[in-house]
Amino acid sequence: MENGMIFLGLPVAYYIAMIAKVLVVFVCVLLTVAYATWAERKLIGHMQVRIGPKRVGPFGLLQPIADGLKLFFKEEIVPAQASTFAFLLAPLIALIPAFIAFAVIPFGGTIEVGGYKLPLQIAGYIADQPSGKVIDLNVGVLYILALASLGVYGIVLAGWSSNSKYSLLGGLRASAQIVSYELAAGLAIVSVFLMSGSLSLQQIVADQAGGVANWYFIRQPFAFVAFIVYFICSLAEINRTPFDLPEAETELVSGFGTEYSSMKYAMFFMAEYANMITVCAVTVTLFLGGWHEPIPQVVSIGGWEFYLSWANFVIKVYFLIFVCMWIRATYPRYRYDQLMALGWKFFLPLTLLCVVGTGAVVYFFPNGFWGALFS
Amino acid sequence: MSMNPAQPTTTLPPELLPLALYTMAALLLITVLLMAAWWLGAKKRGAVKEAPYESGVAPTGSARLAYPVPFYLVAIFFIVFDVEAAFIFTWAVAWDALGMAGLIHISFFIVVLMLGLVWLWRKGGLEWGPSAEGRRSAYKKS
Amino acid sequence: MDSIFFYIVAATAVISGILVVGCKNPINSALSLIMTFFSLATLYVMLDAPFMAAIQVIVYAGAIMVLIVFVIMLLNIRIESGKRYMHTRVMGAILGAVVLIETLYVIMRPASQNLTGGKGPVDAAMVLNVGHTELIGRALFTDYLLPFEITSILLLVAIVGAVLLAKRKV
Repeated sequence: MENGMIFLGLPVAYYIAMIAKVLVVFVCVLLTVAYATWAERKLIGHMQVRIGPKRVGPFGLLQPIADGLKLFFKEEIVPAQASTFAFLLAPLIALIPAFIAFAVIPFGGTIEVGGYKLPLQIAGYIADQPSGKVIDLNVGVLYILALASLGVYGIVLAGWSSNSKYSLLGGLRASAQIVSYELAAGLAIVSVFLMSGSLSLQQIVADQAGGVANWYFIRQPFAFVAFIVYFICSLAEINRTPFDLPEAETELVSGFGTEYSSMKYAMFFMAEYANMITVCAVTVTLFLGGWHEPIPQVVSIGGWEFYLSWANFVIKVYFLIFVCMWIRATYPRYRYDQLMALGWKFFLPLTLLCVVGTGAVVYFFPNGFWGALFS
Repeated sequence: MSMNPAQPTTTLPPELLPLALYTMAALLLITVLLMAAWWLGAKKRGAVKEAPYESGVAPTGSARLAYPVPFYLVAIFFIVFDVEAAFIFTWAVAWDALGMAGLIHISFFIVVLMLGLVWLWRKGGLEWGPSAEGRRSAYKKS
Repeated sequence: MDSIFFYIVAATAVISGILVVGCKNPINSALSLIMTFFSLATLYVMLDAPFMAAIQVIVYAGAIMVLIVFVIMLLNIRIESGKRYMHTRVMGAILGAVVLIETLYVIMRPASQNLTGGKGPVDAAMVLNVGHTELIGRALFTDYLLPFEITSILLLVAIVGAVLLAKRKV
């Protein structure tokens, strides 16, 4: 291995590649956020036999840009008697965790640039170049959970600091809903820990290599339950329909965002879509095999693995985003007491059961559940 | 500095550097967006404009309502079960070294807290909305 | 590089800690406290204890602070009233003095009795190879089993207490 110049113990090439990687991923996430809004309007439009945006650009493709530009020229209003500091801080607290949670997700295998191997994961590096073993945050899953638990502050602060009744009620509802479902989502992930024996996302993905039969969601019955519960609870945690009570237009105007205008309003909007992308990416990583292809070794020539690995990931994530939008077009909104009852009386006991069940299965069937069942 | 992979050369893990960079990129974007909106947006102030929105009616009373008690209960139960989850995480990662004994211990732990959940369910700690209490007492009367 | 980073994080922790007591608005105090927890989590990461860092953020910043923020909102105190109580100041002064003396004692003692730099059975290489979370899990379910099971009873008592207190109010 040729090291070239060394800066703080690592070759300079590492830094250049790292900066390039960060920028490319960041721009991709941003574009996905922008075009998720377009895709959602278009999709739901067609599902409801409408056309959706079509005026700005071909197929309305420039619509997100027009929306963004419009918001730049809107006036920023801070309501009288609002707690200014908290009011200004709230959209930032909502948006930043939504963006940076993506940084620990491995979105591909490794690539080789100029003889230097790089992992396709932002918070990962390869210390041992010949073997190409990726070292990442060894509590990656907990990092995501921690950031998810911070998102609640943006909403609670927005609701409280606006000095408006709609905002307060929206913030209140949102905070109780988020913490309730965060619990069930966190406990559902335990099934994954039990199967992988690790909290590192790289190891979780590596353990799911070798085709669809090895993906965690299908390995054993409890894992499948955990997968469904995790996805639903995550939708509730990020306030997606049918759990979007905090922003229920018919009763609360715009919920915690009622008093926000201009770019600060757009930030809550961006946070919602960024959260959706992160949740879909995490679900893919934890349960749907990460960047591994469903049928292994179809194409294993030269550089193809590189294209395949991230393309697999992107296709799976986009499919889940599509499912989110599909759910939004299909289901009506819950009533608040139903929502809380669902979280505490159904999902929480179910996930606790899942934890013990998965534990028992991994203990009694160390060589795989289905194999033991059908042999 | 040496490049021995078995020993970390720094106390700060190198995988955190790109993480910090990514956070910085996010912060930079947000700052640019906010500055641009502040620079481009209209700035006309007025007492009516700054009044809180109440569906077009002049605002009445304070917006600082006292939170209903169930919301505290949710926060307290959340802490309790969050701590439980933290303990479960440690077991889930080390279950193969702990074996059967670990499975039995964690099952006991979970059962105790399930009992707590069932108890507070029966006590009505999970009831929501002002109507729930009334509905139940109405059932009892009939 | 590392020591610079450490000083930045430590300074953030101390400054936000001071702001917790100094802020007039209780919500801003709560936000400063979250910032303090965050800095502490960063220090845990630097000490090769990523699991502690994650739990610090999930439980302290994510759960306990939610309750505190709820309480601040219920009590409906926007700006701290000018009245300060004498006995809290006296208690604070006594506690501060005790902690100061303790710190000075630890700093001044001879190097042979130093508290820092002591080595337990777990070292950095072990954390790197086995994993921090696994080590905690093993210790918790073997050496510290009884305290762990008692914790479950403690959490149960917390649930019961919360329901009983709240029910009296409703």
